[in-house]
Amino acid sequence: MSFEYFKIFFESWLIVYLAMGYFIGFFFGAVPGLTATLAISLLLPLTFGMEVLAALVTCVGIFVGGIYGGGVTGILINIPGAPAAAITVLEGYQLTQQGKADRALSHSSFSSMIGGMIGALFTIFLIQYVSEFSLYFKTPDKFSLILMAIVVSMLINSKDMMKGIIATLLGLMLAAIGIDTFDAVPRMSFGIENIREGVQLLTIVVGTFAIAEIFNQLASIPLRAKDILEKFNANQNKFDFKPRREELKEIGFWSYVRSSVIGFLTGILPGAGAAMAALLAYAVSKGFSKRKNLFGKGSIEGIAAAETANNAMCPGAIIPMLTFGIPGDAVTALILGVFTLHGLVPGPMLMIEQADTVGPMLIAFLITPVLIVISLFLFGRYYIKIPLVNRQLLYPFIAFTAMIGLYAATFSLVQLVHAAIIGFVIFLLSARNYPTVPFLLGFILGPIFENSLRTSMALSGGDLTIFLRSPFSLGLLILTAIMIYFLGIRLPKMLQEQENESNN
Amino acid sequence: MPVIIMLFLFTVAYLVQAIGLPQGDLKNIGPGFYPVLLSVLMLMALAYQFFKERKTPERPQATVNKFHLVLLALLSGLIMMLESLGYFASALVFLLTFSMLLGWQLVEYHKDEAGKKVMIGLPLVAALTITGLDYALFKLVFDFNLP
Amino acid sequence: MKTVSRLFALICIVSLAFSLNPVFGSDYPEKDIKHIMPWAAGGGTDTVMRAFMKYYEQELGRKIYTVNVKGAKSGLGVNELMSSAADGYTIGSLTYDSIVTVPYFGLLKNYSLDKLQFVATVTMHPTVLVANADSPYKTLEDVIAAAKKAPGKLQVSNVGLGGVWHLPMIDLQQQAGVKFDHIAFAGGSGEQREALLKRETDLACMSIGGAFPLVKAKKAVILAIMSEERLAEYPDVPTLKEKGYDAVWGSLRSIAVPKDVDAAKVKILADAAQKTAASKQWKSWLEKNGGGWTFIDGAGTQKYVEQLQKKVFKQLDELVASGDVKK
Repeated sequence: MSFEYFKIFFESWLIVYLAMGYFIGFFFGAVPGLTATLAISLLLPLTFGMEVLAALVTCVGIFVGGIYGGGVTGILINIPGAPAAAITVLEGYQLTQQGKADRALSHSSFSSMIGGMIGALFTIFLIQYVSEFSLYFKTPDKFSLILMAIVVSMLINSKDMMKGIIATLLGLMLAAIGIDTFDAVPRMSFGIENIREGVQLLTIVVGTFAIAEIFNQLASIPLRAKDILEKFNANQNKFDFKPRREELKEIGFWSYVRSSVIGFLTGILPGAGAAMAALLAYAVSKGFSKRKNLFGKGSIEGIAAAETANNAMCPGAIIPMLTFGIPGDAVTALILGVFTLHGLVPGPMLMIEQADTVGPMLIAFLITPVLIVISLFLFGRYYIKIPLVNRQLLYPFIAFTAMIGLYAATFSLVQLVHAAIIGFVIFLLSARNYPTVPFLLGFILGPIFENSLRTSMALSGGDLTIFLRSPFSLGLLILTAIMIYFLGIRLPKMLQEQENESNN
Repeated sequence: MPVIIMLFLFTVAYLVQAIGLPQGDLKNIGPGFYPVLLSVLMLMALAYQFFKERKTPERPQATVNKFHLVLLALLSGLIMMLESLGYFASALVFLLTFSMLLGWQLVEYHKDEAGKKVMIGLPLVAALTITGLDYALFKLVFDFNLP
Repeated sequence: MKTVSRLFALICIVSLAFSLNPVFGSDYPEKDIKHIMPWAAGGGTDTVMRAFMKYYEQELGRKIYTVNVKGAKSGLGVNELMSSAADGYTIGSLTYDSIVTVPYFGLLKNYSLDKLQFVATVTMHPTVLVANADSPYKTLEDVIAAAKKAPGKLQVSNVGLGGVWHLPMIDLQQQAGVKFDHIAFAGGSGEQREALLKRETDLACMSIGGAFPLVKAKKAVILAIMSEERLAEYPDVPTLKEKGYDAVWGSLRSIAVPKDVDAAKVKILADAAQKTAASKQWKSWLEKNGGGWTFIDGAGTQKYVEQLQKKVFKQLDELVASGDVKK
């Protein structure tokens, strides 16, 4: 990775786009109910007119800012801005109640920076090798990887397994609507001319994250500024964001490294996501910790582990997207959309043909974490204002911008109708605990899942054992089975037992 | 329960169409094979969930209320207005009414908040600033052709 | 910054348009022109046609904005063009699939090329047969010999059965009396290139533009080209025709307007297209992006399209009868 890419960064305004993306992502991450995914999808129509690097760097800023921002509101008012922040909230809000919100914010930022940078370095170092390796990764292997991504996302994101399965299948089914790509046959159009072209990703994202959230806002008792401030410890008047030496010692160098590695590896695994990275790192840190008793009562170690891991996940998540063309979550899928929009095709040739685009993008992952800390020192004491933003201004803005952006991107009112319907249905589903993440991932991966299945079968002449004969494919299938056992069978049992114990 | 029935009807319609398509063979999988597979799996999952919920009924965390119906009307209004009335008129109307709806919802739960601010002041601010902001963003900066 | 330069450019264009308006004697075009692109943003056709429009609008003196209406193998976008107002302010791009696949498979109701008139054809990419540079197949003869030895074993990739890269291979296998194993990669030419690199398929049948990146990187070689004559850019690559197979295949990109646009306006559009096509900047852009320069006027395109439909529909009928293609 050459220093040229750093130069590109500071010579060509990219840093401005990055900072802009970071603050947008941070804001959307921090406001409960809004997500970085939504931020990217609102901006997606605008990226049509941007140069590809500016667009990509903006997306990176949003991605990282969104993951970090989710923890901030959680720490301050006990409402996680994003699911990835659940662990940070668990520990952070305890500290806020003790009047130590600044300590929690300090460590969530500082560890985010360390995790993000280590993850970025890993990615920069490894991408070339993974990219070369991907030459050996064939269509049946892709099928197995996609299958694993779908299954893992389903296992991790659903409390009720059957509901997770239903949500995933619904996503897969919607993705299959349209003209068949192999045989030029229109299918599943229900006789409606408008959906012969299928449902588009941008429409689904706008429906799932913007419209559904607005319905959701109207379903519950609205929180006023004073309700929110009540949750915040008003005695907080000290804002010293410097991490202290004894705290850093308590966390320890190896803890950062360990959590970064866990986060990064979780990132590479498509479908797992930031929430899983944080949870794993937290559990491992607890195991290694000398102060286990502090966990759950405001442990700085716990915050550090979770935030290091979920930020190390971000650059890792980009690897399967760049090298195999398989996005592991909605944000990377939208970034992939930016790639294809500008004619860049992921895969083994990407690092050879498009190093000038990918290089600066990876550097962006290295620079954004620094922004996290800078913004804390500059604006940290005002973070509490973010959830106070007036909803009568915010939600009209979200709803209208999402709709008008969708129109600008497609010039089709039909897409707006789809988004509204999908938004309403997703609201009904999530009100009944059907998870939206596996739904979305099913929709995103659906087409390549089916294509890789059909192409594999054509290549093998109809021999199903092709998925067992390739060592990579076999390995991934075995890994999937192990995941099903641990995440789907063992983990729920353990949680059940724990619950029973605490009840007795 | 209503959700399961809704999904069930959707899946049945989906399956009927999928069966009508060429299925192909294992070497050349046809366009119908994969949708049939998905809808059969879906029907099985829905059946399981149906019987489970009949045994132990579940209560949804949120139900459809009058605000949702108004919002649906507003969204349809926006979609119908957008091309016929143009950007500015539809933006102003939608933003104003939606912001008022949020104000109405706030007052419904917190009576003491009632007043001109939430019903008129904020909606006006929302309508004017957001219309201008999005116009600047889409039309002036990025040069999209707005309706 | 980009946005500032964009604003500046916008102001320039606007002021230029006001000051130099009656360039063409007639008042047309008096406002911006909408260009319907029936393929996804960022794809091969989108990239090429957007580049063309960039130079085209300089000739027309008005801005052309591109709208992507993808779906139904380009059918939805072309369908929208067919039902657009015939005022000369909506133009559209058409590709091989708009001319053959969509009407033949009846993907859309009320779709008929009779509702359009062609302005020009601006690129023509001959189809090529490509092999990995390290594969044992160095010439077309190697391929035919291998296919004769093991019928139905040699795997050739395309992007969809019955589509633009599948038919040439069917044509070849009928003429040579061999049988290939046709593998569809629905993800497009990118996946075809990848599969060829990974040696998942032995050969790939694709547009010369699609093969260009691999050939440039010396990762793949072109075994045969399906044009009438050898190309100046690849003087060593033989055509199928000179090898004794009468198979000429290629994909075209044309511009069309609705049927009822009046002749004077079409003439302005056509003249500008011809000037654009002849311009140095367009030619050099194409050269850097895979070549394929051509120019056929509206009447010529109409004739070409009719011949193409006649030829391919017949072949498709045979394929459907034999069950190789599903309809």
